[in-house]
Amino acid sequence: MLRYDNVTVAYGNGAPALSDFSLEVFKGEIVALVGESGCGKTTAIRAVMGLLPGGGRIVGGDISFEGQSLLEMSLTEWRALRGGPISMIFQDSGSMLNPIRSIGSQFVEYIRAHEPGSKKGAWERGRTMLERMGLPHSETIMKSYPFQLSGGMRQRVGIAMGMVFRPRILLADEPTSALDVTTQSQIVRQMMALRDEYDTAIVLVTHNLGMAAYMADRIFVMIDGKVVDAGDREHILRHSDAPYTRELLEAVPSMRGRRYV
Amino acid sequence: MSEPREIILEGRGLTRRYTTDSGQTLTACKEVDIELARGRTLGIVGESGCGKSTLLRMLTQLERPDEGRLFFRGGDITALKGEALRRNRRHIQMVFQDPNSAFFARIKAGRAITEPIRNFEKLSARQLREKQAELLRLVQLPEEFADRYPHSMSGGQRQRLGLARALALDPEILICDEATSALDVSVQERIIELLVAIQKRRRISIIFVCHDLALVQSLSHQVMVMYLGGVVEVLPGDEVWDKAVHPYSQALLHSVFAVDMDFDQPLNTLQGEVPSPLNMPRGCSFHTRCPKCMERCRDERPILRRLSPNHQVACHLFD
Repeated sequence: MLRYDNVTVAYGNGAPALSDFSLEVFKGEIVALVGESGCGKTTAIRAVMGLLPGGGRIVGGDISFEGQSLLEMSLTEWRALRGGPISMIFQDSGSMLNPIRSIGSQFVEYIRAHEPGSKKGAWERGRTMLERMGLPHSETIMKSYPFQLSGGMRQRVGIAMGMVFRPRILLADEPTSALDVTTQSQIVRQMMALRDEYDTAIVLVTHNLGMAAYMADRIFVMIDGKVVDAGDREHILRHSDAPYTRELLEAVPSMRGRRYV
Repeated sequence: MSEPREIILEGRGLTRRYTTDSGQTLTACKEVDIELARGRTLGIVGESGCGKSTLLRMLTQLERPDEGRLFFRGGDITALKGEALRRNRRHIQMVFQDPNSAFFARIKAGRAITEPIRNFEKLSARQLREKQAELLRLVQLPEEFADRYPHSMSGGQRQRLGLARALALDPEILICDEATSALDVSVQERIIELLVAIQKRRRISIIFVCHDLALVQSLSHQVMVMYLGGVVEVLPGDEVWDKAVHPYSQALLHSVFAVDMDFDQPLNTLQGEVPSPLNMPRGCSFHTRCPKCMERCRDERPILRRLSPNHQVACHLFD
């Protein structure tokens, strides 16, 4: 479905942030990109959305969605894909929302930008989606402003927006890093339910190896813009002989792991 | 474990309320008892809004509790003010979460880490330079770093600098507020190793506040779990996995994604969100989300009870 062929991304004239990156994501599959800051994992998914920050550009390779190259597409065609069949959720959905407009008005605008229709219909559709995300009092939430909601609620609003058109692929950039652990596991359960229900493929970017192992069918370990290890949970956690993967695993604090005192 | 240890910092019934603009009362901390033993680490875990930041503000005496007393080396310091309060501050120092914003961008590293000393002692330029070098060595940074600006360093190096500054006055207590949360795991691991090594050498007592239960239990002698402004459980770090019994501690344990977790077990079953501290539930503060909630929990607030010498829990299930 989504395919990267030897993609290289560079910011300015520096070393590439992502080099020679290849990956194919299949229908209904969850793929995790893991690694530490600056490893290129976020760059990889932002490139799909054309959301590379200042000066970033794809200098080599190609990204295609269902056989069609994104880089050769016209802006209009690409725009139709983004927010529709391909959507993205961010680390902090709260800061992606306009602080001085209500959730509902932004949700309605987003829905109608893709599918023209009545405001009332769009409102109803947005509200139902919030309910699906396990948000009670959806009417009140539609009327609220972002600051009136907790981080976990805002993140669920972000996911609800990302899921409203039943995207075939969901790009998730650290979707739970800003949340508390009990909220984190609620969001993870909801994302996995979406996959089961709609067969949505998910590309998950995270620094949390445990979460990647829990959610993903395949895990890619990255460092300095390159993939250094790939495989399923069993391989990465137990049988990997890539030194960096081992190092990373050892550094992750765990309940039954290393004790310092 | 065996011989009783000197309690260096102790809080009894610490309570802090705020009044909001609309006149409502927000109880950020409610009757918190806390004990820190010399040379030991007390870890504090809890989710946002559990009152851990307010508790730290009281322990560092940035705020005065509305109720309760605070003791340092056995003496009541709750009501200290003026010069006496300022003098006392050198014993309790803090390392902050975000090493990027914890330093003033235009002061060089060497000056920044000796700044606390200038507030308390008169040292000659040469003595200060020696102190600078000693502190940098202590946190394993090259001495040349004294002449660099914090922004030219990596996150891990800056956090070492933060540690150096906190240690400048040779404090007895170090308070780390999410001190490694902004760092990558490999960098975090090295900072923790350093912290533990310094603790052993200098017999410093540490309060380590963090939302990551796995990390906290791995470096703490005692762990305190907080929920909605109160303490729900206190137990030794190495017993958290096997012996934590409070339903909230249990939920935390089963919410953590770990590389050695049981992948076939369902994730935690906690529903909903933490209630607003403006509108504290009656009875046990956790009863609105507790899977084992009983009739009694709705009316009566459980108090901390001892299950064993080092293990306390506030839950009606264990009366």
